[in-house]
Amino acid sequence: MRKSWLIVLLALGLSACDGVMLPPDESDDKALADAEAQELEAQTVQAKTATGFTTLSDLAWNEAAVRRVLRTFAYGGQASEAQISAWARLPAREAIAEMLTFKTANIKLSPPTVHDEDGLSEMHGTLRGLRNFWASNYEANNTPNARKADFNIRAWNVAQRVWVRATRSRGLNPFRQKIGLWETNYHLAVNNNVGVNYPQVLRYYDEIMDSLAGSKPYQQVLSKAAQSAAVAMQYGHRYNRWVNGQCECNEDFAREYHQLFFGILGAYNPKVHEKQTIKNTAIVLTDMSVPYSDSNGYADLVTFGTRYHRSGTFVLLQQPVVIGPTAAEGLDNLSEIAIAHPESLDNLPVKIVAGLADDNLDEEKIRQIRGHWASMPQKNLLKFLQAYATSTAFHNTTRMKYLTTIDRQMLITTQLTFNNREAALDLYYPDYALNNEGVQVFAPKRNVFGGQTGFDAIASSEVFKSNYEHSTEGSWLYLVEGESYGIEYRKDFRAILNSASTNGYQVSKVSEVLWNRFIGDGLKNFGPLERAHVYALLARGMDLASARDENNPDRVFTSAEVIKLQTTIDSWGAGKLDLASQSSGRRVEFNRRVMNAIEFIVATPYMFVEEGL
Amino acid sequence: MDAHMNRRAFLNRLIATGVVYGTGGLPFIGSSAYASFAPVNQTILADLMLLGGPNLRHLLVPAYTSDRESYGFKYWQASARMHDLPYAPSEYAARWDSAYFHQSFGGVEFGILKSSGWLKTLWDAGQLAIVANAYGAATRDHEHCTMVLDQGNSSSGPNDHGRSGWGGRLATAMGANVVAMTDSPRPFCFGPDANDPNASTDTCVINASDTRNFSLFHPSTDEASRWSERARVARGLQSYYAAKSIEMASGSRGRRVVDLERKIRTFGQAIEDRLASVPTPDEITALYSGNSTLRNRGFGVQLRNFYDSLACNDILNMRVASLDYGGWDTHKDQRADIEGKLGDIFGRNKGINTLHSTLPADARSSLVWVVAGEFGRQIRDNGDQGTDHGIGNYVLVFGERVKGGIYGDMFPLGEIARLEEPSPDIAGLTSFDHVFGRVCDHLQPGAGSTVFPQRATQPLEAGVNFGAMF
Repeated sequence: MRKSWLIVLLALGLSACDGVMLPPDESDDKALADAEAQELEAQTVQAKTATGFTTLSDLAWNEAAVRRVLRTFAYGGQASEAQISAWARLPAREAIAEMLTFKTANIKLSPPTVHDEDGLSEMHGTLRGLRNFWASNYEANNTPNARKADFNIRAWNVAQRVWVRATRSRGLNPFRQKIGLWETNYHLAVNNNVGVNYPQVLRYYDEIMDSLAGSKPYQQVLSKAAQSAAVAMQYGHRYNRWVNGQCECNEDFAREYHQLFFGILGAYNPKVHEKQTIKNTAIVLTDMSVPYSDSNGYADLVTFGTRYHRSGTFVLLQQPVVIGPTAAEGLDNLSEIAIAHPESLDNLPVKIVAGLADDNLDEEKIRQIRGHWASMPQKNLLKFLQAYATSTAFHNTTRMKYLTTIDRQMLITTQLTFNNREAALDLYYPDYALNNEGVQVFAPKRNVFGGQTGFDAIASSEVFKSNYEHSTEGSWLYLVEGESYGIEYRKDFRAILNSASTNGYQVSKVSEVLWNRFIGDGLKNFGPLERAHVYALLARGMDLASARDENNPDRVFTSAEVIKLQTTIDSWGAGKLDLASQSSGRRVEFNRRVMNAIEFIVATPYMFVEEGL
Repeated sequence: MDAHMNRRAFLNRLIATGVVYGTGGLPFIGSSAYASFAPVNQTILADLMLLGGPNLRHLLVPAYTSDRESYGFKYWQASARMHDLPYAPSEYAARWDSAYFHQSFGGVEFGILKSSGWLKTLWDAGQLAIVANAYGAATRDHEHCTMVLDQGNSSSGPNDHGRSGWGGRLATAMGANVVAMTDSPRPFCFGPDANDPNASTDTCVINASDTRNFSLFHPSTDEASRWSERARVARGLQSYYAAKSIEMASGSRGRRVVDLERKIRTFGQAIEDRLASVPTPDEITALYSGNSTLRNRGFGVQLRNFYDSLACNDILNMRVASLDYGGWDTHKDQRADIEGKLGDIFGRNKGINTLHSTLPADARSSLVWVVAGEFGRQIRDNGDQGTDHGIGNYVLVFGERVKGGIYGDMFPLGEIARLEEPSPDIAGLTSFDHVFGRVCDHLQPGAGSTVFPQRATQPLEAGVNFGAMF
């Protein structure tokens, strides 16, 4: 009982130190009842105030915080350094509203350069629209003629090609593509390699993202996805028919609709879930055919029939649900029930955060995640993610996310692509890297529960080796000049390096810009050893050991040794890169040094894992 | 570090001090004296995981009987569509005769799918144990049940992804390593974290996903290459990782990457040196080359990796091997889908048979295979010529050290009454803990209870005793 009183006192903002006497251990019944009532009230107040996310303070919302959000949710984004500073000066909630949106274009996050005349930000930048544009002969289309056929709807791997280009093109929205990838390759995964064709997967992606951009409640987004031709092909319920009073059905999607889409595994009552909910969901999914024609193959829309559909009222998730004349109405109604189901309230928001941002969730973070989700009267994914991205649950020392191959490669290619001409020429295109690491966008590793995870990637020697060798043996992937599709190009890092803010391309300043651009940790891990190696590559055009002694290039330097060489290292850091040289040969040489520094940075351990603080 | 320590000396010191390997298995590079395929002196567990919920009742069926009330009739009637048959007893009988080898054991009449002919060879040799009604989790959810199977931990809930795997726990108990032949190590491979029961470590894991291309790039020393761009970055990175391997704290977020680099660099060269004198047998090459004899060439690559890892078992300190094969979620067109896959694994002159036929006798006899999926499937087919998720399933344990037989009731009569119920499945009667725990005990006496501490309280089908399995 003393504990109860303590809680009451604490709830009232009092304590023994304030001179308040603690009650005796023995009290009359009324006092006990009052105390218990007050305790209950105090606990309720405590629970209410503890529900959901705590927003980061303005002091903690700084450039490092902005970069963390961009790295996690937008492959680093393409915002200028000035824009990143501007966001850091805004209150977190205002900044995040500008940074994370689902519209097809977000020109603060992905501003077109003065050279980008393709007008991507002005068009309806869905994957289908972009594919159509990049395959076309429109004057503004900067795709090399030799490359246009690769954007035809039946070209091999066209869905991946369009997504990759959309993600790294300026004038669009890498956050939209990041979430689109997670929805269609992980949460609601469909697979090009198991019968889902390119038109189906592109429509699937666009309709999910358009629903999100239209601020549709999340259950309506999921219902829309469940009604797609892509899902009908993936799971085979397009053959589900109600015939002669029986369901000629497979239960594949009837189960996955609950488990994958909403996070309902049936723990509420396994027997009822198995023998009633799933059975009846299979009936909901009857008469959803996908028309076929010899000329076009399978259509990208489902035809909702009534002939083989069973309508009526069925018990699903232990509630009566009206199943309308077609499966579409049934799914819409069921989704309204499912989103409010206790299991979904517990599991779905955790699945979202674990999938996108945190491989190290603990009970406290899970409590906050669930609390915030539950507190939203209408489940809106964008508002949820915006709140999370500015919360202490996200900007947290315990948060950790291992990058998948796609995360890492898209971060590299997005940060290395300075304008849409480079994207059109396929410079730094990650196709080779994705393939080497056994990954294909829209063909997830696991048919049902999605693509390669960060846990898969971090333990894979093949993934490490591939990344390492792209920076070393395969450094041709990162050339600074050459020819692509008959068009010459030459990299100029002045596009991302501001002369004034880097003190005329000073090595130490340039190093920091590059580290932040690719690692995005606010220089937390850019220690003396990292600086020594990067400075050597930039200032001397050599590896650290060779820069110290050309006759002993295999020598290993520890951090302690590097600190002893601080005078030398500092002198390298004070040097300047002649990126604006009048000599084209010299310009190429210094740009090459910058690229070598990037190759080094993207092969460090910090490229494989991101931290919350 | 002295001022002039070069990388080779640095690496040797790391190996000697065990910095990379912590308390897990240590590499035996220093004592490796074999120029060719190393002898295999200890039992090795080969774990093959079938992802997607394999219908192993399709592989091992009850004998057809014409008595309409018998199990042998009811099964074929309830499974006709998944066998691509019309509802006609004569068709059931014909399929039973044409597609299955007829077997008998202790009064049980059953069939082995003919396209998996090597399995019959094993059975005839008394080296195949069929464990019936085995299960791990009852949620019928792929992700959750896969996690429970990998971890060998039936108490794991849907969000307990970080826990150790039973292969990793076994290897740790033996002071050895798990070698993963897959693209990425399965959770099965990760060992226990001594400080956190909900975490795991990859200290005991070696990922051998491409044994013939294992090592990292190192620039040649000729003058022309020495100062190339790729050489300067490669030297810088090699030096950087070498320093990080002794400087980075064990709990640091990047530590796993640093350790991975060390493993690849350490084992890579030793494996390449060994394999230079161990050519890949043509039969193995045929499993994954352009004209592969397998439908799934990736599985062929895993078998090649396994062959090579056995050749280097002394270097790798391998006592556990991990392989997988996906695509068993046969909701539709089961017969067409499943039989080719089963053939890849168990067909004569196909996957495992080919591996065994090319191995030295000591390596072959050292292997104990465990083949399992995350759940079984329902006992009545669906409307799409397939089967939906169930619970219980067969687990297969085989090898020259295994005493073959049937553990559990292959065809429980109680299933007949449930055939007309919604979602009828094979009941889960025997926890994976008992099956896998017995295998662990064989590899190292007493290890079963360490790896599966909950075993004693887990369900075990009445009358089943795994004591005689080895």
